[in-house]
Amino acid sequence: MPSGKGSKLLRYVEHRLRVTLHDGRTIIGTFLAFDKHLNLVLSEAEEFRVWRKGGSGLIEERTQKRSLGLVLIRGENVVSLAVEGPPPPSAATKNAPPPPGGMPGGMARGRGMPMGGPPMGGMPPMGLGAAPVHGVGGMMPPPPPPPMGGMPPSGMGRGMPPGF
Amino acid sequence: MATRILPLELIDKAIGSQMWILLRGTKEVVGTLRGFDDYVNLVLDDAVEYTPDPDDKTKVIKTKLETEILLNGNQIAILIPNGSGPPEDSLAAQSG
Repeated sequence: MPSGKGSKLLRYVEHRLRVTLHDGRTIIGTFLAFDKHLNLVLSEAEEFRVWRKGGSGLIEERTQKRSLGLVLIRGENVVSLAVEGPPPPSAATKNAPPPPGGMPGGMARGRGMPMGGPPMGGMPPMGLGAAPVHGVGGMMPPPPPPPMGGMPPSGMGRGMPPGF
Repeated sequence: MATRILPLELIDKAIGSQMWILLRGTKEVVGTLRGFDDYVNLVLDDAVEYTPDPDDKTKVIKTKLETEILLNGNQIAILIPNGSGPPEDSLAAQSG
């Protein structure tokens, strides 16, 4: 999937996007997907074209609107993208889990805090302050004594016989 | 990052079904998608071309292209999977 610059576009997935094309068309739709060519997939898309007609003096401007539905726009034709509005309510409820927008972030934080907060806050002090210290302290002393105690005697024992 | 559906996958899924294609400018084509490539050149069956009548802007000329056609991806602006074509007079109204 796209990365780098693409990830910035990714944050607008599910939003209503206004796309201007080379031939003057404007498409407004719910942004679903894109790729490295800036090919776009929009759902519930509407096409708007402005027509200037009337050659002599009078210029009449008309905006023609058409519903297109689910569309794929070739990246080659894309001139500009603008965020038209937030995700429509229907899309937000339908696709709340997968999209990277506000919902997932909130979800992650929500899960993370309960999990991380209490355990992290409570355990470290307990472990470091009480159990581990005691455990380490208890473990360390025992090992040293045996070697220390054993070596000198053996050394002494060996040394003594040859020396004398 | 969750892998999202890629635009070209959408075209792939639409193979074998009807597709409505808006070209740059005013021409539109509807046909059964047989195949495509990375340039989004399309092979279409039973293609019908819709173009506004240059003499009478209220009319749409509908041309049936009898054979299988190759549509150059260069000219394609928008693809609409499962689109059945422009509603009656929509092109004509546009150019009117």
